[in-house]
Amino acid sequence: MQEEIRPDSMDPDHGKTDGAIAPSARGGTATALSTVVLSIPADRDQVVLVRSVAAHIGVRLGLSVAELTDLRLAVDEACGVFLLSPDFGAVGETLDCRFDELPGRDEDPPTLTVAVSAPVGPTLGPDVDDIGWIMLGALVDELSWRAENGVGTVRLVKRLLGRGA
Amino acid sequence: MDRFAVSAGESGEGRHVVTVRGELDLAAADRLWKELEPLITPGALVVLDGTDMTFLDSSGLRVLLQAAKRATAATAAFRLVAPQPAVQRVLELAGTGDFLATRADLPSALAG
Repeated sequence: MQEEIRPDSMDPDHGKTDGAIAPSARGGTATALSTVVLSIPADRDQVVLVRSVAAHIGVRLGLSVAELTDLRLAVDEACGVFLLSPDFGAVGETLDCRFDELPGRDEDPPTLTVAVSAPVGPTLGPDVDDIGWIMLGALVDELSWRAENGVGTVRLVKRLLGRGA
Repeated sequence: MDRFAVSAGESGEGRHVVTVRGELDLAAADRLWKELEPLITPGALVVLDGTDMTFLDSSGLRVLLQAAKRATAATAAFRLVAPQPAVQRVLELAGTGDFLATRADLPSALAG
């Protein structure tokens, strides 16, 4: 069973869909051109490592200074969904961050997809009224939350526009 | 090298400057509030000098908003100097214009 929350949905039961191993909003799977995986202890002091990795990946992908700023903040806020939740402490000791560079397909541009995951209890999820989640929605092109089999995932998609496919 | 540093000093009677350098994120926010809170007393002017503050997230922003709210309640003044683009971006995104008194630089923040 899956639960997906997008910023414009107030209903936690909205949008139950079949999952895919590497889901994309376009449907189906895409083979990543490049994948970086980072696991950090679930500790606020470690989030700087995720920001740093995101920034370096963004530089490699040719993001502008403004896009890099937004990406660093976005991954920080994604980690915060877990680390700032009072429900988080009891479960889970690591945050897994996966950065996939996905190729363009048909009319869809290439993207950088970031998934931040951790074991979660049934009550943990983003507060859609929280300033952090609202800002996060404005920083990326697609944002979603999924809780499946005791693992919660915040997924961010940044379109890589004006670049070769 | 410390990626977040906060220090407080007095700039005349009841005028405090809290200097923040580096990244004000979810790891640093509590530490800032501990420094800031005791200074927000009736009639005080508290300036957060973030000239060298390079990063701000929602946790850091919450502390800034908390300080502004506490200042209003305590008839104190809280002013923010935070010129760096990454920080300006957050203030703009969060729409804090009406809630946070910002100044372009420290001398402006300490004036009047």
